[in-house]
Amino acid sequence: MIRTLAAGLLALVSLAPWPAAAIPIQTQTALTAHEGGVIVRSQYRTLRATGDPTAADRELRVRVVPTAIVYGLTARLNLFAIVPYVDTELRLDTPAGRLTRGATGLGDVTTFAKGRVWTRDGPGWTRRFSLIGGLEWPTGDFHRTDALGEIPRPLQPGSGSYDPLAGAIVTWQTLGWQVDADAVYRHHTERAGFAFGDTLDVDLAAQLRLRPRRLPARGLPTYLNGVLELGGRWAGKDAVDGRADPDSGGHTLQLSPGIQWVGTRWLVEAGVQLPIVQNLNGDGLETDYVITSGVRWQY
Amino acid sequence: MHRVGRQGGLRVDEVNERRSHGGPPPEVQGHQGCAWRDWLRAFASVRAASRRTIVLVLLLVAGPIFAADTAIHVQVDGLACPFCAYGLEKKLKPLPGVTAVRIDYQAGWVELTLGDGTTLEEATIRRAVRAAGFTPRAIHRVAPGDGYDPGEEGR
Repeated sequence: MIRTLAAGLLALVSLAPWPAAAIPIQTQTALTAHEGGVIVRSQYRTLRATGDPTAADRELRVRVVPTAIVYGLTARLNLFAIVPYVDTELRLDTPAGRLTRGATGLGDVTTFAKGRVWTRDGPGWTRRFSLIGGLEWPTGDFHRTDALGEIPRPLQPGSGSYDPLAGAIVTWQTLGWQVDADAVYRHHTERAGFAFGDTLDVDLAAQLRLRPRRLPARGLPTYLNGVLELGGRWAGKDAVDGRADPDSGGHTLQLSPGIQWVGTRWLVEAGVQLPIVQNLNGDGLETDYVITSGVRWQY
Repeated sequence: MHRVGRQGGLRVDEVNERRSHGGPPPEVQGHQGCAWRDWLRAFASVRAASRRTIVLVLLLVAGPIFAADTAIHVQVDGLACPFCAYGLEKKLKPLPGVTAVRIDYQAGWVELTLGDGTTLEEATIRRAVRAAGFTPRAIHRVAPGDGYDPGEEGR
């Protein structure tokens, strides 16, 4: 059962949000919160994956409500915590009829630090480079059961493993547009005979101020931004009892248009991730879409 | 007898009214009346060395008061999004003497309005801007009647 599920569920671990000071939806930013500042970001993300090449006709839905909290220890060093609430649901045909399996609960909490190591500021623009490093903690339950016994590991709210991550981000922001690019590597360790494959995410985001077309002579305007992001993910094969699962891993490329309404203390956003390349190993499920909506508030 | 005259900027009957209700006498509220003569007499009675000390202290205290600004304009680099600008406002508002902060976002200027008789160290302003995550550049102090307009220097 795990073999037939794992690849399609790679997306589950990709649903953690990146709590940004500002501003892309999926991509990280090198910008940091001010000293003593707190940003709370909450999202609702829903994923649908179908296209099962097997007779099981699997259909996967994952809903995640991640809440991210950012604290500006200094203007150059920010601390992050992401607390996800996860709901997974897999439907599949079996000799006994169509079954639904899944679990709901607290997922794995991720904590990390972001350090801004390079800054070039000018009038109305900034270019910044930041490094991140952290750990995903096994706070989510990974021993949930249903009438059929223990729920497959990829459907559990938690992974059970300690997973370190590291990455680099570059941002170029002006009054009219912004470009961000990141590369984040995540190593998944083994726990109770299962390990997700390591992942490398590489993202590129471009934002354009749609409104106001002309900035007011004085004061702080409210922005309406159009966002276009390109997200690539390379995932290694999962390991079950030390053996690589041939139905897991692969690489995907997603295009993500979105829109944001940005004020001085708040931000409202929505976007959709549409796969344009899905080169998955074995019988992995293909992602149809990921819809994201969210708000951010800063103190 | 109902006396009507002036004492410390108030009519004498107003003074008596306040005293009868337990309120502070006007001289306590900063209306000195002829207290200046008492001060001068007291000043003349102290030793010459003490007089020099008093004059020195008065000069030190009065200097910043008479040199106080009404506003300070700070050029801030790196300011390019409204969500990021909040931290700047938050860091500058609590500075001593600052009564208002206005961010001129497009031009990259921040205007700090100061309370009467206050001034603000340049280093304090620069530290606050950096803590907000930006780079402080030129700082221009605006004295009363200066007529300075940061927009002319802004882009």
